[in-house]
Amino acid sequence: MPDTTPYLPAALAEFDVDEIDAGFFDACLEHRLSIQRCQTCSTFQHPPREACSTCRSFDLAWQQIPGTGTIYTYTIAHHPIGPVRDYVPYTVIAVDLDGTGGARLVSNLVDPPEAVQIGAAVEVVWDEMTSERTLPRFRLRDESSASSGSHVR
Amino acid sequence: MTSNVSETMGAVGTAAIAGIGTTEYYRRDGTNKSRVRLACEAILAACDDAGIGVEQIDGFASYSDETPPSTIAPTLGIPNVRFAAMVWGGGGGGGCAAIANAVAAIHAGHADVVAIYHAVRRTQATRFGGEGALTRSVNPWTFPYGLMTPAQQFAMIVRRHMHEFGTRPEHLGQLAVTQRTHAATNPLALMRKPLTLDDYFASRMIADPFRLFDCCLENDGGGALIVTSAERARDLRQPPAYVLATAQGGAGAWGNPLFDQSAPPDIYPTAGHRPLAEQLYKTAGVGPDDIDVAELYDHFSGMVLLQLEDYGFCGRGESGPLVASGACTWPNGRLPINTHGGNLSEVNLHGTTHLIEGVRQVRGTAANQVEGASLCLVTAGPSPIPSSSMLLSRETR
Repeated sequence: MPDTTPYLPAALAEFDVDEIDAGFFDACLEHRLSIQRCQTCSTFQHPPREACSTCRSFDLAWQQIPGTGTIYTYTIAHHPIGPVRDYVPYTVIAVDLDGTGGARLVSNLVDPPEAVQIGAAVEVVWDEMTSERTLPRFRLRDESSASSGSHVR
Repeated sequence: MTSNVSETMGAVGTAAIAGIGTTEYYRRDGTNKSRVRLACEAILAACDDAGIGVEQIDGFASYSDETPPSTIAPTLGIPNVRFAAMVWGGGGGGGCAAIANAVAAIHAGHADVVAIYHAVRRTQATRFGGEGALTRSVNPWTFPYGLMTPAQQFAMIVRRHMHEFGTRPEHLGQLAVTQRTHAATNPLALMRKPLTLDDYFASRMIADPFRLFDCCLENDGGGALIVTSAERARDLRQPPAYVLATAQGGAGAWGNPLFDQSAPPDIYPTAGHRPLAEQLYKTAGVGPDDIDVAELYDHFSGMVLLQLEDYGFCGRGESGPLVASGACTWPNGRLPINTHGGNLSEVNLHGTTHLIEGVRQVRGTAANQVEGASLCLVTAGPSPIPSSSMLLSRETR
């Protein structure tokens, strides 16, 4: 696939979010990865909820995190269904996010599918899908590069 | 009404499944019959099987179905509806919960004869991940990343299980082959052509590690069951299948995270059924060694393996080798599973046929009958809460 092809079609970025989810996507527009954190017991949780599922506090806020993590599990989608039919195979990963005590985010690994491995270190790359939606995807972390926050293409 | 209330968990064996019925099974788009027609045909067949007049039905229970009793009751000319309950959630998780609701209604005196029904007509439904699923109200935590279908979601769970426990692709294949072997001798099954492990590995990848034969069928049809009191069931045409115990629900942290993959590490690579297993065994006073046959919900091969672990038929991580050893194959395995062929090879009515096969096994009338089967485990889901399961028994206890 040429570099100019987006990882997944822009049609997948045409979605609405409710109030509870908006903070995450607002931060993405500024290339910041932010996760909901309880202001009472300091627990991170993802996806965001109306209450802290650890201490039941409603006092929740968004906190920026490093944007690195570890692949917890994955699948490689091969079935060419609906909107993604021209984009298979692609890799869906669940990332245990560093600095969150176990919050896990579903995203994609933009490296070739054969490179995916549970336990691999990854870092966020930003995919500006539409003017309204920028999404975090991940790439394998090169031990020599400490920085994160590049563009996906 | 028979009063047989467990000290711990409520009604035990006070109700029974007295009738079972299905439509003909159709391949996808193989019929023009509506969902309403399919549901009604199945209910009539179940009444006929039980030897009970359809006008005797005074309650309805279902799960994940789009035809309400307000349509079924006038169509079938039901004079008086006293109970109607739908299980929350989608997919097949509520099958045994629908039976549980019927049992509870009968125990409480809200109904005497409850029809449980579920019909599938693929062309009347939106496909997971299909064009019809492209709306602005999708799950923002999964859909934008192309995590759109149940096959993909469950593949991630099974992949983690493989990583932690060494479960191998051939273990998934052995499960698919086992169920096809059972379907081959079930005259009702849609997929009766034998499957080899080579065929399995030659099939295309859907969502790694799931290949085509790891995935349930897409087809049309309907099924129904009649639940009544144990006392009344004994006077009807068929030997009663006593509902010994039911469980519905699941760990709060497992259900919805099926989609967003956020379950904590101790329960993530499970089927989320451990709390249900515990409740069933406690209610019935039995353990995994007492079970003769199990009909385990099989949307995907790997999730059957994880259920074998959750219900204690083997230790964690041992389900792949257990299936590969032949222990789950009829007739010689010590615990035959999905003796009808399951959603993978018989027909996929979201598990209604697992309930029905469980009844056949304890009646002694299954195509692949486990000799002397008296206790059968049936599961529904794994799914968002509620998942459910039940124990059917040939005898009252």
